[in-house]
Amino acid sequence: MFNISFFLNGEEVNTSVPSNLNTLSFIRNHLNLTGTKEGCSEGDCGACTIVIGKVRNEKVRYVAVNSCLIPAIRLHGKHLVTIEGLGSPDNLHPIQQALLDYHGIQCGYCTPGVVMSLFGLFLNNKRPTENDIHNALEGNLCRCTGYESIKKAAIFIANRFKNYPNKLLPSYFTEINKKLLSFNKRILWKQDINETYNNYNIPKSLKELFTSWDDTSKYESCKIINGGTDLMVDINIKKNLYNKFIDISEIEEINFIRRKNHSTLIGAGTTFSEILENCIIKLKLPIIISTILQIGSQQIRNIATIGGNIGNASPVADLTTVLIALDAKLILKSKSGLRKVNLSDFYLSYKKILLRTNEIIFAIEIPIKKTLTSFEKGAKRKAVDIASVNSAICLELKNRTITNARIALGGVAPFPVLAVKASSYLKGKIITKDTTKKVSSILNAEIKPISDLRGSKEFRTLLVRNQITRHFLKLFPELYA
Amino acid sequence: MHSNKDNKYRETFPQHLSGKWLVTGKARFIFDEPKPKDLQFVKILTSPHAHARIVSIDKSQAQNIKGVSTVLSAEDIPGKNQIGVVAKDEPLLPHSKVNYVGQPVVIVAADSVAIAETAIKQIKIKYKLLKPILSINQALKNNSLLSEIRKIESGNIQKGFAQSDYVIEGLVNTCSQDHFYLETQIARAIPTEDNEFIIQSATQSPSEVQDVVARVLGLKNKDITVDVRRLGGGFGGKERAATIWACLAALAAYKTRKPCELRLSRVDDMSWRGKRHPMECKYKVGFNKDGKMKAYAIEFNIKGGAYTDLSLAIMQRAMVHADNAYFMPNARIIGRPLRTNFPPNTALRGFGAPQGIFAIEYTMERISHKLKIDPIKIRQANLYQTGQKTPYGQKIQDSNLSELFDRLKKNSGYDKLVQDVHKFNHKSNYIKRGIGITPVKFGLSFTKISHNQTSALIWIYEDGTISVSHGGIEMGQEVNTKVAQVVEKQFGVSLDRIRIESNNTRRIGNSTPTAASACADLNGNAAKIAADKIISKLKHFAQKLLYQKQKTKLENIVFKNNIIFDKQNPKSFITFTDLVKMAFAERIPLCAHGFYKTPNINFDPIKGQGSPFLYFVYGCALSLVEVDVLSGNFTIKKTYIVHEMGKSLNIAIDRGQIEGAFLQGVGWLTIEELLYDDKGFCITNTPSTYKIPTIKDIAQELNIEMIERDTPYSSVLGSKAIGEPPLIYGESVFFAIKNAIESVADYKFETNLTIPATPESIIMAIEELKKISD
Repeated sequence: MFNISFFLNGEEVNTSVPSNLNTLSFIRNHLNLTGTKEGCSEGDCGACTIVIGKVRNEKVRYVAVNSCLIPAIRLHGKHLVTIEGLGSPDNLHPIQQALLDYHGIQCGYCTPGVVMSLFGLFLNNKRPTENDIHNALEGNLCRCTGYESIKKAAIFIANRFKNYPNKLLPSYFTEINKKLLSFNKRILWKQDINETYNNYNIPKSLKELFTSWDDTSKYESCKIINGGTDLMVDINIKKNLYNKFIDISEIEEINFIRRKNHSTLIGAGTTFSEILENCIIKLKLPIIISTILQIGSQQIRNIATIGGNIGNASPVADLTTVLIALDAKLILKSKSGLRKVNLSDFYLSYKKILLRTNEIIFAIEIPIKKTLTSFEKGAKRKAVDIASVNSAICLELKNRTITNARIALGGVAPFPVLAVKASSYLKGKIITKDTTKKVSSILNAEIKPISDLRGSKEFRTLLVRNQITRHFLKLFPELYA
Repeated sequence: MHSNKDNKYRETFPQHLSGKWLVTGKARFIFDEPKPKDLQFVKILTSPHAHARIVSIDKSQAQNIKGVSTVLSAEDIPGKNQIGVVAKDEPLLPHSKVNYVGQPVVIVAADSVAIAETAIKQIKIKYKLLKPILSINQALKNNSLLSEIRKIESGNIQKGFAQSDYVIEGLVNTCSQDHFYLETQIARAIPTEDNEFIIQSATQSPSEVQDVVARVLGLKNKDITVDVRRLGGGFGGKERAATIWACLAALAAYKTRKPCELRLSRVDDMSWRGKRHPMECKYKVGFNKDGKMKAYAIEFNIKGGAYTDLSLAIMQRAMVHADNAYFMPNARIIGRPLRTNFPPNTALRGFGAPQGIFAIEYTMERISHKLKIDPIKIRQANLYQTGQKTPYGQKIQDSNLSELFDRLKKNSGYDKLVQDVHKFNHKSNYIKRGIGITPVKFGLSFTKISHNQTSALIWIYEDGTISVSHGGIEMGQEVNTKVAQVVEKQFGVSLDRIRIESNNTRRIGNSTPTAASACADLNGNAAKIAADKIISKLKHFAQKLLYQKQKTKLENIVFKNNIIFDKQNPKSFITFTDLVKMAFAERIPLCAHGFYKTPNINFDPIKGQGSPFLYFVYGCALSLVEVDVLSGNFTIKKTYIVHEMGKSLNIAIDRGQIEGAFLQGVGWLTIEELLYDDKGFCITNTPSTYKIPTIKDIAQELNIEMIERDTPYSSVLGSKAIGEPPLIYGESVFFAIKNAIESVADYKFETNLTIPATPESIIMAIEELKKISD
């Protein structure tokens, strides 16, 4: 058991939790708050959405997350807001009142999650657009309403409160941030969290991480958990029980985005949502913004990290495909120092990566060059889906001649790959419709997709061809006029 | 939100009766009920094989685990090991043979979920594998049937074909669909005294649960109480398919004499349960140059599961909807219910009608293609006219389909829309647009005549507040709000005086399933009857009280705004509360039971003839979609729906039903794809692999015109049912996609777009078209 202290809907709570408990079960079974519902336990339905406030860089940041994907132990030092922390039947929160007024409730099982997603949206976005509302709710499945009435309620709130966003805050929010900041300075992780079992370690700094690792007997076969949006699914659904964890989500040194010469460095612990808000990325690497918006749901993006995404080594990770095309490098860190590897060399086989024992992904270095880039994702559903095939292309041009080209593909091999032959074919070529056809046929020979539940190999092959067409269509519309 | 206009909206369309509790998370679903201290958690070991003989079961190791209270298999069932209702062919736990992957074989009850899960792993079952039947073809070859085939015939089919200018035939396969209600299957069984059990079950059929639990426990129905407050969605998936879990929880409670809870995880729920019936539809249609059908022959090969479940009734409904909105002078409709080694396929919103309708709509598209006549014209040419008869012999009484089509054309600006699409497609190579049209004529009433009955119980308490129990289940369709509105209207009191109670078999016995869209019709009528009984007594009493200079006429007494008055002398009145108080003192009954049965319906399922429906719901939809030819994804640009609804009880609720059903229909035929491995195991058993629509999949513009009209062919207070019919509108999106794909080869060829129209299916269809046209 681990002792944890946190704020629950404005009130301080001190309790203890086992390491293998997720926040959803903790809320329902330990806190006995049953407003948060379980729909799937894998972060795909949103019924268990909660809002969590976390201190980072002296500020409190609130985000909506899937409580089933968060180890309860992580609540330590946070502010947990559940549906019980908003309105009551006699005194509804404006979001709740709007859902009721617009008939956005039918069976009501998904409703608390919808309320929390919207609350998370309005906490971060004072003037959300219809598109923002769609992004905020794409991770909340509702089988009854067809979403029309929910959307109307959300738009109503957005209009009604655009000048008074503070009216959407429960009264306890006025004091809570101060409390949380001082609370975070006061709590000491090592001492507070009872270490007798030692199977879940949350280092606060890289130094602490590497010191812990010195004691190899203790941390042998440790699973590194960062955002945990994939690992927790393994634990919840596949019942893969890992014995020991090192949770690196509290290490602030790996949470950053900065310029460095002709590249951008993104710390491995940076969440997708944080990347989306970053000005450097928005300005210099818009392809990353548009790609991340296609990954998971708002709740997932709020906890999933770029480092975790790369380390998880999914064969069809959307961002990894883009980063390979962008010729990103990984900076790996261990006690003995840093080393740099090409992301395209990082994957060895299915789920096998180049990471050594006691080493972590520290940061991702993305070169900033004048390039033409494009990303395509082929999936069954527009939002919150895993691709059958994805691809990214990054071209450097001089007039109409390609001076450098990188095509990366996901879903056609055991890991995302750089299409070496097709990429090198393009070098020195002038863009014509024929070039694009030729690229497709080279690619066709270069890939060996398999058939599985996300698509037959025939379909995947066609998708690759079509995506290449789409890339060129987007980048050189005049060719297809 | 607090302007006068809004208040008026709220008054006109009362809000969800439990809305305040649901939206704050305070409303309880079964899983939210406080857990008794000694609650036992039930876990199930299911069959990993689609078809196998059970050689041996070794429960000993599991039984010895600390915290395990009982481990049970077929031999431990005290009563009959039989949970079938339509056909008695389904064991609760199989004794000697398993018939589908996911079939429960052994259950464990333990102090915690974790202990139960550990114990499950310690149970050893030896199987001898048998050959399973895993496809419609295999079932046909092996003549594996759930029952005899059924037929509906009218006119002379051979003559009809002979008289037709054209005859075309073909085959189309509809796909399955998971219910994906948000609340997974759950039941809690609580032993009380004297061999009595209370079952809290997430079921649409409390009386069935009561009856079957009593049967398997060897008890009587009076010994079992089923109580249902609300469901987190049902969609048919808890009509029949909830019974087995309630029985297993009850069995565990019977053995342990402790409260037992059984809840399925999402993965288990999706892996083990039956779903929408896939149907192989073999059609043959004869028609004339003008597009009018002369003859239609259709054969449905229905993929049932390992047990009968509701497959026969679903087949029946597919058959009586094979005509949809169209008159067929000569018809032959055949249903063949196949038995396979899959979980028993079951009810899902529409109950066979969507499949039956899909086949004829597909046929309409083929006729249109053959004759090169606009598909809307082909449909209009064949619409039912009042007075015509369906193939099963029911007379169409009040068809307004032609008017609805006119509205649809007007609302969508049809002619221009078609032109615009052609223009757009001419210019655009990689994005193609298409239009699809689907009308609906949906028959209301259970085709099983005995299901068309229910009752309601009303108590007015001394303080003038009202308790209403009825036989329906609140599962998001807001039947409780509607029934409360009926009671409100009858008594002329405000809604806040009324409480709709949980469905409880002690208060309402012999209730029929909440299904067939009929719940508000049946229970609203029963509640009205009960209310009217009380009112007739109260009226006489009020007559005496209001008697002043001259006698008040009974028919002039009005119950309105919480007061009772003579409409000719409204200044003198008595409040409802006072009336009730005095009535109690005078020993006037403040309670009544209302019984309702649907009048004027009959059907002979063997002959396939009769008038099974009290009335029909009519409507039509048009969708405009954009298909990305490169990715195979589509976007619904616009959908227009024209829906006729009688006198709606609550427009806001009915609109919500249309919006939700439409999107569920879209999901069924497009992105919701169920896949099984070659052993019969569902591999798309999570929301990460089975994709239901999200907010990003809704129509960019959804235009719904709800047409109210007075018609005797309707139900409670002139309203019509709403639950299932609008699901059919989703089919318009499929036909729009098909239309967009066919533009790739300039509409010269028909596509064999497989269903569901996933990106893979769309891309493959486009490739095929390109090959043919090159």
